[in-house]
Amino acid sequence: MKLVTLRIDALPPMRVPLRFYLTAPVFGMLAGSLLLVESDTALASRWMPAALALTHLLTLGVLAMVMVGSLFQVLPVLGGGSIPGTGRTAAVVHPLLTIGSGSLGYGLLTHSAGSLTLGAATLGVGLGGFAILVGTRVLRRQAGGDALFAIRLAALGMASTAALGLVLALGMAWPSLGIPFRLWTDAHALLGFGALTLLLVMGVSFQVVPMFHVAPPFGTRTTRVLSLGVFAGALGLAFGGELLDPRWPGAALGLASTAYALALLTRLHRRRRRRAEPLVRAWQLAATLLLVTIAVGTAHLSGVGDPRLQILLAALFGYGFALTVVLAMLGKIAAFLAFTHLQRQCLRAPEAIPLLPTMDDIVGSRAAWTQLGVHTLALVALCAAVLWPASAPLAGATMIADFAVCGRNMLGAALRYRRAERAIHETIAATGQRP
Amino acid sequence: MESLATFLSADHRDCDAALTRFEDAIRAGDPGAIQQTFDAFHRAMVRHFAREEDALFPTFEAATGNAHGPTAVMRMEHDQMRMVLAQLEAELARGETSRSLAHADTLMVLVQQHNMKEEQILYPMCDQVCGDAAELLARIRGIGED
Repeated sequence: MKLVTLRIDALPPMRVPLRFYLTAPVFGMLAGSLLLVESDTALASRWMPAALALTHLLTLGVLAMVMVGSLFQVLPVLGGGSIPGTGRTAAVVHPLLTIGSGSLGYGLLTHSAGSLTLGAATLGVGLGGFAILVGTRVLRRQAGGDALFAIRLAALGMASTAALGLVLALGMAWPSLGIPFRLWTDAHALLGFGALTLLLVMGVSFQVVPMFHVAPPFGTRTTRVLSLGVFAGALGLAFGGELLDPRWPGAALGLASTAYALALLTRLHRRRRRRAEPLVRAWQLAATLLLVTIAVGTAHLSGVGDPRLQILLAALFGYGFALTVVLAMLGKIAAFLAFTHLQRQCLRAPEAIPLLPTMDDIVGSRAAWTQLGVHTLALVALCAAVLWPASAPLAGATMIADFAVCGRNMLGAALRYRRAERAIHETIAATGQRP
Repeated sequence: MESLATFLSADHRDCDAALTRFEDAIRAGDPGAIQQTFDAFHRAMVRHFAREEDALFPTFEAATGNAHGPTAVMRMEHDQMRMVLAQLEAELARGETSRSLAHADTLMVLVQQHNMKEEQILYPMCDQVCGDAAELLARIRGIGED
């Protein structure tokens, strides 16, 4: 019977997400260094080469890197089944995403046609292929709840963002192609932020917030209306062109996002698990930042002509809303994966159980609080630098610190895992079993 | 009629609430309440495991002819949770409340990722393949009822 062959033990090997998690902070520190070095121009206008490079180092090198790595772990748990050829797929997607993020960042900074083409090609194959694989092999399954509805839409968002990005990068490398840059860049950014990032975070929160924090569920109708509202709004803003007054899709996106942020805050407020942990504070901060982003976006759409608003929007949404949640979730997922892999090895050898660390030993709550604190500082510094450009070097330095903390936490988790695994293997070997 | 998925998902929520009350008691620092809430949580978990392992899983395995598929994975995850429960109990007996809280946190994450798989995948499959669901549900309800 087909149903019964569905694999629900699809825990990816530790090395699969870890390679993405260890790479992301490197790109984050590169982004911070770029802001430090190019502090005069990186936040001056969204069209400056340094601003484009900074944005893509953060969105591709950090956000996409962590999101893709996490999907290997999250999709099987959410009911979508495992990603085909987990280890092999990761071994192909990870280097493509790494090379692509680096080359595109360099190409955007220097206008090097070779780097732009290499970046476009590797990202097109890596991200586009991954989106198609996830969309066709995993998400078409009937199983799965409210989270997968939003994640299916996000996969569409990922494929269209990647396709538009590919065209834009090639258009920049080969100007004779005559790509309408301004129009298509707006569409690319709107899809990447709205139809991909926001929907992916929403989808994960629909499942994770009620369960891990023992909070009231969002409800199927609410999750679907909100997801469709965000998707339709982002799509309308991106492609409405002259057919559609942008205020209508803008209102749909704004209303659905506002309703989502309020629903998230309400559920967190009504959670039964009152433990004040960093992840709860991260969700609350993210929801609040989403509301601030919507307010700034409304001012922008209403005709407030300050060009800094667009950069502030990207900072609030990308570095604020999305990255706050992503960095907080990262610690939890890495700790859980390390713990559960180690614990399964102990199931056959009870004498190894005392060697088993808790999740808190792998990525401790003190480390998670430090991450949230430094990240908040880096966000404040970034927003301040948009408004007062003289403070951009400080923003670059705090961004480097933010990702240094993240890198330290991930490296610490990897080393703790290796040490515990070695000790458990030695204990198992001493009992005469094969590890 | 109430489905297996609805009843067993509600049983998960009862276990979650019991674990939350235990964590609250640890933070409040009242030894009597800590032991009382731990015992209640332990009872709820043991009852839920029994409902699945003694009634739901055998029926599913008989209906599908597969004892090595999803139910084998769920049994293994139950063993993982039993292991953390035992560690938690041992730390509690030693009076190590901060270690107990760390184990409770680990257990919560382990429980929730397990619950997601059951609620999203296994329970809907059980509702489809387990024949006389009313009789099975009555048996499941009967387990652990005082």
